[in-house]
Amino acid sequence: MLGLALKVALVTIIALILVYTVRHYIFTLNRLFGRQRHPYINIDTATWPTVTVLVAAHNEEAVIAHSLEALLQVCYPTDRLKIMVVNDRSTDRTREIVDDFAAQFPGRITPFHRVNGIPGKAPALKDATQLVDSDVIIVFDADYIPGRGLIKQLAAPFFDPEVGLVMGRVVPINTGHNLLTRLLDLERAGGYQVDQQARMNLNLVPQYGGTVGGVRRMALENVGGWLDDTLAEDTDLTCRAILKGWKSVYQNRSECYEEVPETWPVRIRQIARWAKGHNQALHRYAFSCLSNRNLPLPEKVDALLLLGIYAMSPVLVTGWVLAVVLFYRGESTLIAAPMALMMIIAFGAVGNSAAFFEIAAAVYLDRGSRRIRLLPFNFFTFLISTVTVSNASFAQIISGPRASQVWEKTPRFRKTNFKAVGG
Amino acid sequence: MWIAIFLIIALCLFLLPLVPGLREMAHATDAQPLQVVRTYDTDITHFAIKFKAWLEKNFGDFLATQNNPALENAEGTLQDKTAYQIIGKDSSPTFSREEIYNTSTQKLILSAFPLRLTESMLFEGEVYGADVIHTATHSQFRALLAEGDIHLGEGCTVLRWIHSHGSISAGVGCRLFGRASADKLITLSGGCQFERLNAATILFGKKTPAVSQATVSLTPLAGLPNVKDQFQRRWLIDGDLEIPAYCSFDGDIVASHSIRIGLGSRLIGNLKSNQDMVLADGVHIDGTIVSSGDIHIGADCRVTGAVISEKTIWVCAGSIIGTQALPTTMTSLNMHIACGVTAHGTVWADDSASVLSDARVYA
Repeated sequence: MLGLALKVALVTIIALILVYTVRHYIFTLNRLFGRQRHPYINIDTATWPTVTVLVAAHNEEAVIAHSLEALLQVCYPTDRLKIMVVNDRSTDRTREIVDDFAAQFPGRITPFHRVNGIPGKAPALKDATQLVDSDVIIVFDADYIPGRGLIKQLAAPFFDPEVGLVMGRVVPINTGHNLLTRLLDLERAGGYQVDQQARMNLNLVPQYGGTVGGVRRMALENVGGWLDDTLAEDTDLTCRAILKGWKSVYQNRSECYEEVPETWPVRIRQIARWAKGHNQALHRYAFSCLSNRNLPLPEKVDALLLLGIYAMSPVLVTGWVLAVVLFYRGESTLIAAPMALMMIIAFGAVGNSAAFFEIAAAVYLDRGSRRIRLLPFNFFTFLISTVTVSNASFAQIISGPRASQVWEKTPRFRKTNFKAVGG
Repeated sequence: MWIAIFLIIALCLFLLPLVPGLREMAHATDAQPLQVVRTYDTDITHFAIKFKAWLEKNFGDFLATQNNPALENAEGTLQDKTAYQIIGKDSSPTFSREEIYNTSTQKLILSAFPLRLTESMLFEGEVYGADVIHTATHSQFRALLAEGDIHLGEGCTVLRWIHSHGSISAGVGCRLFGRASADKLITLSGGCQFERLNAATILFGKKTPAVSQATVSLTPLAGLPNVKDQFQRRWLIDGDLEIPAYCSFDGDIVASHSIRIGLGSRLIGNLKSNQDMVLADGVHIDGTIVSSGDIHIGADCRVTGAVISEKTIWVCAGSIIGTQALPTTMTSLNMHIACGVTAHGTVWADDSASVLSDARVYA
């Protein structure tokens, strides 16, 4: 009886991995051969909506000035654009730098120095949003460096009254620092260039990523605003918006530089936080997605698979353990083939942000030829991610979904002056 | 012994796929961030501005003395091997025998005076006019920039971009690939094809006289059928939506299928259909219309906001998109626009767009 239960569990796990594999193959083939949707990218003349750019900042003295300089140069009607720095209890020179900018550019930069309340990005955004009266809110992290046309590109989809959330593409700027940054560059490329754009093409659920993205204020009010008890306010908001009939859209050509972690401990903490936030959203919204009558079936399936992506790591580890247990119970002939299959396809199915063939397709689409040589090394990041995410997920299961979550900021690495690439 | 050989072979097989990566790590050849052109600001005049800056750098003397009536024809070659020809007053470009034989010139053409260009010639270099440019018929141009108006003769083709600080008029059957922009007015005759236009006013064919709108009282709609959800001024509609003729409604509408707006109705708000959208004649929309399918705009309609279709837009005569004070964007994959349509702002088709001689256009 126990043997049968273990076998059923293993087969279920293999089936789940197969579902993700098929999903990622569909995305990759769609990106390579399907019709590409960019319906809002051509909008260059319009009566633009009023926009407030929220720059989430916590101890950002190394990067905040670069971000503000870039934001001051964007091509957007100045009477319709406000920049609000949400300085969440910084203890370094962030406040001083922001106040200097505000004094130099009165009316264009508004500092919001937060000194109490729950720490973290979501609670800070929640407090700042109460001061916002614009049609659209665009959120950047303090290490992001927008190009001149980016705000228009992110605001353009909001002419569509169905659109509640917009996401742009994040491009690592410190790519060449070390092996980790180069691997993260590949992973980001797969996640955005293939995964997000394919979901846009297929009318599924492109994920609002919390930065280089915009939110319609009306949609935010409709879903109840930012929640301050969430670790992944982006995934949380994406779910609540689609459940209320708002669309999230992805703009692949709206690119913005970011800084990726340069050390493994920082990367591990970052991905553990993402995993916990995602799992939290899975717990909160999986049933609502399933039972929502207004959500079309393809979006429903995609939303569930999106929510479940980080839960797949502990599932995968459980599958490996089950396979070994069954092997030692003498079930080798039955288990050997599925186990081998699972080992091969798991990497392709649940490499945390992008499967390896998605990365290969993304590098091809980005015309970056020689960086593809590093692709085999992504197997090691897959293993590290699997262990990290599984560890975080199991810890979350043990502590319970309602246990208080601690938000942890990703440290910045920039030491030298930012030099723009490509002009 | 055999175990050692086996382990070595296994290790080699494992390391083999990593060899190119190890080489790339040792000698990075592709470690730069992906290029994001941060200065690109979606401005349609981007190339024209860059070209003018290039002219100022390389032909500063010419631009400084261009008002001198004694300026004479001159030819030369820049250090980067760009051949050029400066055209004097009351003169035209001159071509070598080879150029005449090939009906093609690679020279950059610069003129300080009204410029007339010969017919059936391929101008592979840019053409710059400090005054008006008149082209004869059936010529092809890489790019044109004029401080005055540009008149393109019948059947001309612009391959990359054209910009005028005054107006552009394109004769019957012209093809404008790439960007076409003017500070004031663009007029396209019937049979023209284009991709991206921008001007304060864009006329397709001749402007039709304004239709005097019959004063029919409109019936205000308090609500809509098949409402799935409603929040503030946004209405979510399940399935198709049909607004009857001569009705008015104030609010944003999102329909999961198609939208049809009846004759003479007026809506204040933004519309989105996930299938086709049809505006009957005389409809006024004070807002944006967006469709995942086609958009059919009947005769004498007014849309003040953007018009966005993921497939094809059809516009009948007498319709006006945007206003002089509030220019907007009309964009889709394909576009069929009747003579007699006016647009203010940007008209942009990703695949193809054509001006049809008929007053009515049909799918």
